[in-house]
Amino acid sequence: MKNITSKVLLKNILWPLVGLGIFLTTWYIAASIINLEMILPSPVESFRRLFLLFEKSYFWQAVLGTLTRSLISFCISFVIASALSIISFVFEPIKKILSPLVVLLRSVPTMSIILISLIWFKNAVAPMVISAIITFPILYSGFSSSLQEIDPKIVEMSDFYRVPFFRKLFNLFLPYVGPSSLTTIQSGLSFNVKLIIAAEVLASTTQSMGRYMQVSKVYLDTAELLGWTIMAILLSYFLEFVIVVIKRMIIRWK
Amino acid sequence: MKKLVFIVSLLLIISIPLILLEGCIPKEEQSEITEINISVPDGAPALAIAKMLKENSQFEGYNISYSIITGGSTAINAAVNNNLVDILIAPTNLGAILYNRLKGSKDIKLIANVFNSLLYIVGKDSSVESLEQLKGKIVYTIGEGATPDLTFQYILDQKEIMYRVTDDPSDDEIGIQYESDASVLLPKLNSGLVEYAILGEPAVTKTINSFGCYELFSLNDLWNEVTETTEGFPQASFFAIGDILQPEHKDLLNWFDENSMDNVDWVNNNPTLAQETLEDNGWATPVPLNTELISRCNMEYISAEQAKNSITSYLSVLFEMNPISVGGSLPSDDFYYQG
Repeated sequence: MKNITSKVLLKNILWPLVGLGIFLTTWYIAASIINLEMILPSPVESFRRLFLLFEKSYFWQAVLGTLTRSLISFCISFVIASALSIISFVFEPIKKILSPLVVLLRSVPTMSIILISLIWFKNAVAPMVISAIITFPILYSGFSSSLQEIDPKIVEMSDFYRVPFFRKLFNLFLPYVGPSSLTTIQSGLSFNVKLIIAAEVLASTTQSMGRYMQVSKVYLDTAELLGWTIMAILLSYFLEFVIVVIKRMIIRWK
Repeated sequence: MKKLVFIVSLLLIISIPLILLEGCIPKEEQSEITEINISVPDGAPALAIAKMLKENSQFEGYNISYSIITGGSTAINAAVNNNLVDILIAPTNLGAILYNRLKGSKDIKLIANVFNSLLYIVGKDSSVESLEQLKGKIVYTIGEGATPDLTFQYILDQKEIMYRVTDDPSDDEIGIQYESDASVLLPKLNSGLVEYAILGEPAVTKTINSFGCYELFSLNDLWNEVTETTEGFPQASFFAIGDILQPEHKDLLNWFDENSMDNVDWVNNNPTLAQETLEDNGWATPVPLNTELISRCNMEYISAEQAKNSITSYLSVLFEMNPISVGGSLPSDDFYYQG
């Protein structure tokens, strides 16, 4: 038993740490060869700048702002995508009607959506609109394919035995659809954070991480830019982690 | 396991020479420069080389190429970092930032101030006559953390007008909002989503000609008012970078100095010709060049020695507002080129 846990530990923690170590070492070596902070600051300096940012109140306001915007836009996208995927699962024609629209949304260049939204919306709203539009087809397709996995025979059977709707929902649909939908949500959520930040950079949104990244770019302060970048990675990681925890809880519950 | 070790060592083997090579290339190029690149950002700064572009001015012993770069300060930085440019126009404070950031690896000197402020506050309400009247309103500006933003804040500070970065200002303060560039701000001004904006030429003329906006304030005038000077502030300057600063290229820089001075008169006298020349060279500015626009650009070629005082006081103001806006410290005397 003890042997197994140490093996798991090795597999899940040690190897990823080795990977991280290789990355940081390469970064460190590259930075010391280039030896110009404006081009590539060392990881030590970048983390130092991040820790300095921790003490600033504007830093936390910006992180909170970006997090809030991500969650709001994700929720909008999520509600629309799940509603539409369920409707189109139940009514086949709706699915056919939606299909060209979804293809359209998926193939419009991200930058076109961003540039047009910047002109149409206020700069606090534009990032949310942009990432909601771009995340929607990803979530919609993910949810639709999860719904396809449900065995139609079991649905038929439950219909035959007149299983009440809510029991059907909790004991049949959710357990089936849940885990794979959560995988979609997990990748959608961190993608959403990246989009929000990109849009914030272009929109100069007040109280946003993107805005401060833009400013550190203007001042050629690459170390601080990387500090913000590390924070953005941590934020994405944190959100993914929350979803993983929820996923585990659902699997246990199932 | 073996596979992993193999992959890791492969990655290292590939990456290390690449990094080493990156450091070596510029050094090899340093031995001879007869190729000279003179670059200016798109927009008004391009006016500063219009005559030279038109005549393809050359100096004996050198092959000089002129170019207009689009993409704002990011493109300027990229050009500097990749040794693509020997003389360029940049916002004066960006030059100071580069001077501080490149210390020890590359020399950069200010050779002349060429544009005083070409920034203006525009709006559709022509009745606005004092900044006080903008209280409770939102002023959109380009260039967050850069010249337009900092000088406007300085002016408001001096006039003791309260301001805040917000889209919901109270009645006793001005709200400031940012846009990444004029191309985003112009449609919003046109549609009425934005009422007041700080823009540079030639975007200012565009709003006046096409959207019925008025030039409400010149930041230059406001600056003069609060600093009690008459010169305005030196917004953009010519910088020389790297080997061109070696003594053997002194004649070239003198020649450039004379040509740039001639250029100012030439542009003022030949606006149409200047526009044609610039458009042929990739100038992406859809406004007819007229004397009014040119005069709003406040183009004047003042050599570093003469401009030094106004530049130092300008940079000190920026430094006091936010030290990072000049790169963390005020440049010392060797920042100013002595011909």
